[in-house]
Amino acid sequence: MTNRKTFVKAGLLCCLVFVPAYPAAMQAQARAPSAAEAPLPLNAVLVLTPEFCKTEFKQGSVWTTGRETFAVGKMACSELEPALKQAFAKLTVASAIPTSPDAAVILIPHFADTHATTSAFAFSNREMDVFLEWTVKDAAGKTIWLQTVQGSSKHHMGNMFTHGHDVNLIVTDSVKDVATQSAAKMESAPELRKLAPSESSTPK
Amino acid sequence: MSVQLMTLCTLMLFSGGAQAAKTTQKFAEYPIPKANECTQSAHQDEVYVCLKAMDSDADQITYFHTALSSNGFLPLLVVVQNKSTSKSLLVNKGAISYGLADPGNAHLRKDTTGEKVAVTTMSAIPVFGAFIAMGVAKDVSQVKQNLMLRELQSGTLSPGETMHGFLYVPIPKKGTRPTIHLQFPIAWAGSDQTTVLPFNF
Repeated sequence: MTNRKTFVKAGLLCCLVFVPAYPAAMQAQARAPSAAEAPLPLNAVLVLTPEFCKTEFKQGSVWTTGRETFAVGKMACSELEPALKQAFAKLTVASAIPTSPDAAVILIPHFADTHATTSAFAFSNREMDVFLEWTVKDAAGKTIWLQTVQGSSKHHMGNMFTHGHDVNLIVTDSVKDVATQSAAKMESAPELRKLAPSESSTPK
Repeated sequence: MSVQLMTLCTLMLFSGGAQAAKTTQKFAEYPIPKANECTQSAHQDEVYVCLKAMDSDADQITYFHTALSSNGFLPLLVVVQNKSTSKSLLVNKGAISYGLADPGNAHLRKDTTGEKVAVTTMSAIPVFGAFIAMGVAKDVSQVKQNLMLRELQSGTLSPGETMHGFLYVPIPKKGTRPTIHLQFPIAWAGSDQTTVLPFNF
């Protein structure tokens, strides 16, 4: 009986010690960014052309599975700027490739491909993959970095009443993921880090 | 009545299980050779490019769960290695072009000596979306997803890095596969110069 009580007490003590410690450890990890995660001290221009913002992918058949439209461009034009602002010291948005040499880097996105799996049941999960191709040019207009970034998400297929909402959710999350992944890839790219000026001339 | 209900429930459970099994299809990993260990490999300016055509239907079914050649596409594994110690390589998938050594696809042009020579028309490799348009693997969405995830994508190779992926080259659905001419452009980051590595296989 005494042994059992001791066992329960030890268990409770373990819970008290380890359970709160886990989120604290996670927070500590999140608070300590590595050198590669620091924003790039560069003036960047993000080019979001009207054509890019209108990018849509369609799949399926009207007669069999139903035609689905994924408005990835519209979502990207609202999600890319806030995500990339974390990666660069200064980021401005333009609707066309700028001609003035003020920007150290010009970021040009292009949707390479998109695909969503299908599922027979409303509550089955489906997956969506979005491939965003980045062309980064320097002030002289030369390509210095080219990268295809993948964003993914999972959501329910949805039934005839919720399908539209579920399509929006899967598009939103895939595009948010590709935006976050893009910022991380740019921050860690040695080709872009090489362009960073010394600390004293960092743009304010 | 209760037996019928139980039968219905059992059937629904089984169909759910079958669906779950369908949605968790596993695709075997294709062995990736080193860039300088292929039968079709070339190098220039410290860049090694290896091409490996997957002609066998059995291999295509093993790794893609569909026979692509009979649907008019040849899976072509590309391995690229940047052996430079200082320069970054830009791999632009959109700039890779191919042509088929097929008399019907070639046209005659006079060369510098005035003689007529057959010139193969070169085209860009189509993107994955072409598969959907052409109805390849139209019933299995995981097969399409796997094809897309394994596709070669544009990217930058920092010094010493390697990348790989498949290109899906359009070929005739029937008959012997014609020789494929492929041009792989080599461009360095921050440079205007591009050189081309030619392949025939």
